[in-house]
Amino acid sequence: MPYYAQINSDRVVYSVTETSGVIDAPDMVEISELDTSLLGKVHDQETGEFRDA
Amino acid sequence: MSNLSDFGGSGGNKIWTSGVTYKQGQVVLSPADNYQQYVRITAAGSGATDPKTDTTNYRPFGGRAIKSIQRGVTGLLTGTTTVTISSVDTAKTILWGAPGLGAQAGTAVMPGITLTNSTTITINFSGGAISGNNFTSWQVVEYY
Repeated sequence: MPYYAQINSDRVVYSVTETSGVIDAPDMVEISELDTSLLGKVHDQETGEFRDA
Repeated sequence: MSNLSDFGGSGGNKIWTSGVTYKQGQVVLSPADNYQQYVRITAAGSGATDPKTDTTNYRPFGGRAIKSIQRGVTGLLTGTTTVTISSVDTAKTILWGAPGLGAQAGTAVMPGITLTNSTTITINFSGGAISGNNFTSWQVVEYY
């Protein structure tokens, strides 16, 4: 099942989700696992990495 | 009623067919609903409407298998937050919430969690903005 980090307008992760299917949305970033440590981190659109806020 | 399979258990139930007469109390499998079980609740009769939508003559019967499970952890909650999920049939879905506690002016608060529509969960702290490490975990279970 796919996993996503959902980000707000500042690209801050506010939710991590395991879904039952693929979601194609600009605020849903696919991740490899349900990693709650990503909550509050900022997604770098250029590198695709998550960094501390 | 002449067959034990008329009364229950999916092993011997018949696939519902348009135009065929079914007895009151007979359990059939709905082709329009992934062959889930329905029981005829009115007098014997036939029809052209699948039991899934023929709510006058049929009711769902027995347990339903799980179709999908989705889950997540949502944080940074202030006021109302929405989370996107894969589409579900809201009439066949249960949202389980396991709220985490947040701090609001030194008072513990718990969020309300609602399945707003087929693709959206809404999490609301009615007390408005909160501070601290606030999060809630949830699980969406959809049945056939």
